[in-house]
Parts: sequence; structure tokens; C-alpha cells
Amino acid sequence: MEYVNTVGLRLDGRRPNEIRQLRAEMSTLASADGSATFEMGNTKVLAAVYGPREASNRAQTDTSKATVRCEYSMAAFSSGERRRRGKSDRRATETSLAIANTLEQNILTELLPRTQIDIYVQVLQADGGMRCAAINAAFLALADAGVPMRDSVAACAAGYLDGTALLDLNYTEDGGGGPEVAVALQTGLHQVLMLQTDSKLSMEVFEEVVELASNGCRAVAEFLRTTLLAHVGRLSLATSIAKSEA
Amino acid sequence: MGVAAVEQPPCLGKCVVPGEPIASLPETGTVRVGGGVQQAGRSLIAVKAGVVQQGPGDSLWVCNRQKRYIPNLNDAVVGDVVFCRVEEAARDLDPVLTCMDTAGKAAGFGPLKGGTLFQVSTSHARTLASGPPFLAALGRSLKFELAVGANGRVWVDAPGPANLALVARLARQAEELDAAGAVAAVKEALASGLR
Repeated sequence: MEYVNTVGLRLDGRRPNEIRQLRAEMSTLASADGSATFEMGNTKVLAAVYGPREASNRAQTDTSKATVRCEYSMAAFSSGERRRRGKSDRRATETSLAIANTLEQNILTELLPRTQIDIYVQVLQADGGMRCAAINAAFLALADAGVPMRDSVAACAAGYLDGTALLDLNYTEDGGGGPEVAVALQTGLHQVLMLQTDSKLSMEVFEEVVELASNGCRAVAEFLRTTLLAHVGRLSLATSIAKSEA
Repeated sequence: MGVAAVEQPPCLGKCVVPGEPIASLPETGTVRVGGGVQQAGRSLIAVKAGVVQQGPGDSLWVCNRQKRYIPNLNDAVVGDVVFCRVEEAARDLDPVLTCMDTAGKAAGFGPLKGGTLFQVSTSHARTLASGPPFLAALGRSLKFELAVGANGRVWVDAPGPANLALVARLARQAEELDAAGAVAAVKEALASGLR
């Protein structure tokens, strides 16, 4: 199978360094303290944040900082064939831990001792790059919930097929057998929060792919920033008019 | 208004995202830091997504549309049936509530009978508590009683279920409208009700 054709276009017509179309919506769930939907092409992820709230398990309460828990799951209808995954799906547990560890570094947990922050992420449509879409959606949901955070976060993945580094792989490209590296960055501080890969790759390829993924993160960061500012914008209008009336 | 001219920081009213720098610390003098702002080296950065505002005592804070309430000292809150004040709110302890004001008088605190209770975001509760013009406009034609908690809970009582539903609905809708729009919505509701 040819993943990059002779003209340099991928299966879906993108160039190797093009990210898929990004879409996001905030405050999508009325019952959650914070929520957001994030789409990367056909991959669609919903994140809901509950907290900071009292820890459900008294024994697990940390008196110095907040506990961050994450539950990642894929809806039965998210992939091509309807498949019900059990609660003890190993990949889901691994991704849950990855998301929790990534975002915990970014949350100012020492400001909220004895509390618990629960992040629930569900994949509604799976077309590759779910891990990164999950982190982006969870970040927006945390911002929606007003959880204090050190910096903005953006995540993106890149792979290597047909001798070319490709940004933001979709499901078909993901199944191509090439390596994939997922990167999550703190946008202002330029720190890496997560760098994950499950494949073997040479140093040169690794550097090229990580560089491409980081560029992808920067593009995602710009989009997330615009989304957050638009979400805040309405509040700004109401507040400024209230001030002028006073 | 005040005696000393306090310089308005240029960042007021700016929409910020987590990690965005708001201001840099001046060489001398003190800067008051409020909720949603943290010090990082020589600059102040936002840690929440919201609008930069100036709070009591010239402090800088970020106002956001939060649903979850974090207790603050001297906030008036509405619990399940009680209007009370947060007396102690240390970071590491459970908050202590009281039904008396600082002088020891009742001052409107205490159990609330009848009426209806609903929830709004903490920022809208703050707007309602500051006495927006649409409530005054409503009060000229309707009799009602309103208790607003900083924790986002609002209690309303009015004679007659129709009036009660009307006041509750208008108070909730005002979150989406600006001040002039809210007053217009009130006028429209009253006009259609009298028909």
C-alpha cells in the first residue's frame, strides 16, 4: 500500500506536514464542572471534568495536593465495527494513566489539597490520534472547570511511512506498521509533558518525527488558544458592560 | 474618587488563557495577587481562562465562568435551605459557616422558607449580587425576595407560582444577556404577563 504517492500527497490528500481539521466546543455537558469536545479530522473525543471535589476515598486523600484521576474509554460505536470493550481493557488503562500523568504535571495541585479531580474521556469516533485528541479535550475541559494550571497544553502525534515523516496519522496510516510518536507540550514554557512511542526507530528518524510532532503541537496550541479566548469572550462582554453601567 | 490615584494596569479586561503572562512585577512596591493569578519569577501569569479584573484592595484576579465553588472568607452562600456566611476558609481545613454577620447580628442570614432554589455559575452569581439594573426594573412592578450565594446557588420567593417562575427564569436568562438586554427582557416579560 502506498501511503505517500508520487506527487507527495497522502491517502486523504494531505501533505506530510499537514494536520487534520481541528474543531472544538466547550461546556458541552451541563452536569459536569467542565467539559469539552475536540475533533482532529474524523477523530472525535469528549472530555468531562468533575472537581476539585472531596476525595471519594478518605484513605487516599493527599493532604498536600490534589489527586488527579482519569478514565479513558472508547465508545462501542467509535470504530468501524461495533465492539464493546470491557472495563479492564489494557490499552484503555494505559492511556488513562498517560493522560492523568501528563495533565497532573500541568495542574497546580498544591493549591487544592485534600481534593480529587476526575477526568473522564470518551472517544466517540476513532480515526487515529485518540491519545492526543484526548489530552487536548481534557485540557479544554479543565480550563472550562476553572482548575488552575501552570500553562496551556497541546498534543500531537507524528509517524514515519514510505521514507517520509507524516504529521497526525489517521487510522489507516496508523495501521501501516510504521513508528508513531505522540508528544504533549506546555506551550508557553516549551516543556515536554509526554513523549510516547511503542516502536523501534533510528535516532535520525526519531529526531525528524519528534520535530514534526512538536510543530504540530504548536499548531494545535494556537487553535486551543483561539477556542479558549472565544469561550471567555462572552463573559468579557457582559463584565465590561456591567462595569460601565456602575 | 479615592485620594491616591491608583494606576490602572493596562491588562484589565484582557482575556487570558492558562500560562499567559499578565504583568511583570515592578521594581519597587507591592502587588496584590488574587484568584487565578500566580507569580512565576518576575512576572505574574494567569492560571485560569478568563478576564483580568481588579478586585478589592487593588488586587489582580482572573474572573472565569466556574461552576464549582471554592470557599472564600466572608462570602455569603446559600446552602440547601440556609443563607449563611463563610467564617473560616483555610486551604487545608473544612470551611466553617455561620448565620451571623461579623457584628453578631442576624442581618438577613438564616433558614429560607418556601420559594425555589436553583444554580448558576459563580460569575453570574457575583453579577446578580451586585444589584444589576434589571432586578431594580423587575422590583418596580413585582414583589419578590432574592438571596444570592457566592457558591452559585440562588433562592427566589414571590407571591404566586407564576410570578415565582417568572423571576427565576429572568434571573437565569440574564447570564446570557448584557445589562440593557436583561432590562429589555424584563419589560417584555412584564408586558406579556399583564395581557
